[in-house]
Amino acid sequence: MKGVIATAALAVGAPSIYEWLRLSRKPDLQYLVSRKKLIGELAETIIPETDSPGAKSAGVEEYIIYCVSNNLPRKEVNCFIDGLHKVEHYCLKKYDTTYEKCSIANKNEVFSMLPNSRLYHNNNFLKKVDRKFRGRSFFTLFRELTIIGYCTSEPGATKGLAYDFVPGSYESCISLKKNQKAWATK
Amino acid sequence: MHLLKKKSESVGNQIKNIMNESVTYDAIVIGSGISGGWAAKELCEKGLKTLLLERGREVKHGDYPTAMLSPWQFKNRLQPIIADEEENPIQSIVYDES
Repeated sequence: MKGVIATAALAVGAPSIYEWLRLSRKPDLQYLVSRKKLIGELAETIIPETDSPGAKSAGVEEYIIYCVSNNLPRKEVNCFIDGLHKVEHYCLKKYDTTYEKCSIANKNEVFSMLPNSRLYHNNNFLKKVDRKFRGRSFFTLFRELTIIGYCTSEPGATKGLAYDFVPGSYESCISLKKNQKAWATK
Repeated sequence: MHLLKKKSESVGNQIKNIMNESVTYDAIVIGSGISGGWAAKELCEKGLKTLLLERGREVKHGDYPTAMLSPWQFKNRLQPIIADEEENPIQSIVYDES
């Protein structure tokens, strides 16, 4: 009986100790900076250039690199870096090229493999516990940083969204017009 | 010995009394923001012994360096900053870089 408990403890404990070590190591920020192009391409896949500017022309990659290296907890920084590694490996293995050179269909496919890479995908309670201990997943982090970076950038706020530098009067309720852009300021 | 103890006690009490007088106020206003400063002024005018506590630097009228900036001109784009959260877990909820 003791042996069974010990084995079970080891089975649960060993991977989580490994996981803890992986997430609390010193982040390789040089790698992060060196993958600026890849980050830009990933962000561009989320917000592509259309009649409004895309993520790359809004300089989202600069913001993401700054934010990841200065304003994220260490476990999320490592999670982010591991995610970039994963994308690079996946593209080399599956499409035999870098992410930047993949076709648009392949780029979208890479994203669809990302959110499923975590366990307990549909259980809200386990998801919360997981987030508490391991932080946000690579996909969630990347998506959030891209959207914040885009909506607060000059091209994103002024051309992608509606930005009013000096709103002037206070209007509590304005009805949306058809095809109206969202407001850039909260 | 007994006398000495008694004497030192009375000196202690004297100091205590002086301290109590200098740190006792009729009103203490925490924060000299938009309403705190005004409240302190009114309390003083009503003749109350008032203490106004403010942890920020002194701001003179016209000294608003971030008032005319846009979100992209801030390093952290007005998002919560992890260093602030660690230093001031509660207060950091209500302030940002601006």
